[in-house]
Amino acid sequence: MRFAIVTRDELWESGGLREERLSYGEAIARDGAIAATDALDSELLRAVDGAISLTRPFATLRATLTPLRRGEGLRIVVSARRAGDSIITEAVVVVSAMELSVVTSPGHLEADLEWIRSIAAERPALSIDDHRNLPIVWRHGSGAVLLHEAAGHPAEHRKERVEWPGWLTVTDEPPFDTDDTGRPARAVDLLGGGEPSAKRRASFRDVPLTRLSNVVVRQSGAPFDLPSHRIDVLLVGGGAYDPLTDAVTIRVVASDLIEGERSQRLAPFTITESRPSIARAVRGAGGEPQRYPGVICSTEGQEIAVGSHAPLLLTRF
Amino acid sequence: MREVYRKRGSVVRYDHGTFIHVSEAGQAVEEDGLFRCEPWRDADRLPEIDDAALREVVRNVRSSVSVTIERLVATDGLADHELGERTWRETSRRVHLSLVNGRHRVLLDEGSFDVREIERLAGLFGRIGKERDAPPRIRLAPRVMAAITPMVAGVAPPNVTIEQAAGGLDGKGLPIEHASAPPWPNWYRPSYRVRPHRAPLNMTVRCSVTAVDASLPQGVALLAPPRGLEMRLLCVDGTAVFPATLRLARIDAISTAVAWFPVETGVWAGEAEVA
Repeated sequence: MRFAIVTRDELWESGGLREERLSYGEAIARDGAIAATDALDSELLRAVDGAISLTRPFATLRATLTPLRRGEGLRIVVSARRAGDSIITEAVVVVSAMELSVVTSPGHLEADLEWIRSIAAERPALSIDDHRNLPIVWRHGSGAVLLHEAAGHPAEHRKERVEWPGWLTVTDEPPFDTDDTGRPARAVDLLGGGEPSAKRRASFRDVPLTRLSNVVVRQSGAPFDLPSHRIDVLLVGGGAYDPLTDAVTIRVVASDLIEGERSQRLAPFTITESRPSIARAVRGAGGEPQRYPGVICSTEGQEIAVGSHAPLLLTRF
Repeated sequence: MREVYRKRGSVVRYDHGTFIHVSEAGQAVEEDGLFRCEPWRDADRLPEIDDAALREVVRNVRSSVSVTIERLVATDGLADHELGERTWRETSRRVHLSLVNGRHRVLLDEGSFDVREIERLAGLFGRIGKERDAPPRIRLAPRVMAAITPMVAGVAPPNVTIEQAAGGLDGKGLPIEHASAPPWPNWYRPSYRVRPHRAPLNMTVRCSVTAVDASLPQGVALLAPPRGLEMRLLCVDGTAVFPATLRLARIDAISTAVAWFPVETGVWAGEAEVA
């Protein structure tokens, strides 16, 4: 099986273009081994260059780069990959403002840049000692990151099931038909004992691994009563799952303490809980899944983008 | 100023049960603050690495370790570098091993294919007993010191210095000089795809006292990445092997550095006596 990939990435800061990379290569699997070289697949290069120069989102993107402010940056990564007969093109933009960042796509860039600017503009007013003292409402689809860690990674490791609320579903829904080994990719129920169907790799140098592609959290008939005294999570800076201890860690980098009509920005804090504890803490949800800007997921040193969608989610630890 | 760097590399890696041979060449250009890199299309290729040594080390580790291997990644590589008129060759061998026993995990990194220490430590790890308090005074093995050296850098007490040890070549092919404070004179460039930056290489921690009390219990390996100066240790005291959490408060002695470890930009480490 032959896998080929071409990637261009650019780093823009307020002073203009700072870094520009082109990378390409192929990996051929044979007899349990992989031979990888930087051979060029010209069709993929044309696909990448076409995506950068011709598509409207990128034309818009490049036109809006100059107004970047001090402390802001954009990393644009466009790749085209071939596995078997299938070609997949992907565009990811990592937007950073001050010390915050989100992963987005060209189509959502301007809205997400404004969103992260608005979050970065408000400095933390206070800290919390213990996240367990208050209910947490995961806004803007950020609950998908919690379940990426608490349901997605355990599924990759084929961990035993834990009991989640019956109204909750978490699925991995690859936005492509063929994975990086040329096999069909399909949606999988992550709470039902399923393992993500897609094997993915960050580059031609990497071994394909079973990875998440696009986490979608849904609710059907969930209870939801918005507490007047709560924490509203706006942005998650990172997360981790340890298959040995079954512990999930989430770094919340932007959140508000809500007390009735009063809202105060909280300093970043970390949630570390066992997976069963998180399953028990999920108390309610409301509405349709919202797009969270996304996640750059790092496993075994391979960084890949994973889509994230979740409804408003309520937890109480 | 325009600087052109070129690299040709050949690596064989064992990763998740697969042997992967990688051959590539690339070039990076820095000019007026802009960094650009791309594959070097016309480069002559380096010969493919014979994977016999890698296969042997994988076989040895797998056959000699009785606890669960969570992760085994090993690489054998060769690279030729060019920067202007300067050319140099680099070879590298690495073994990264994550072992699991019950609820414990030990992480071992070696900068060579000599895995006798891995075998010894895996044997000790297989005998791990119940949690104990960290001994009030303890020796830290060189591999533990290597892992915490970057953390010590910002909080070193007056009797301890962090230095860059001389030896080898940096990411621009320049000799790595002895240095004891920023600005660091040398350049770190782990790949042609990464913009080089000044950093301490061959870091080492030195102490005014070098005699370490050999009768003390020893922390032989880390059970988790260190969190600041707090670390989970695999400890040995006589015949007892146990996990303990140490909050490093004092460094009383560090022996002469005896081994190099592939931690961050590279660390030379000796054994330490700490409390």
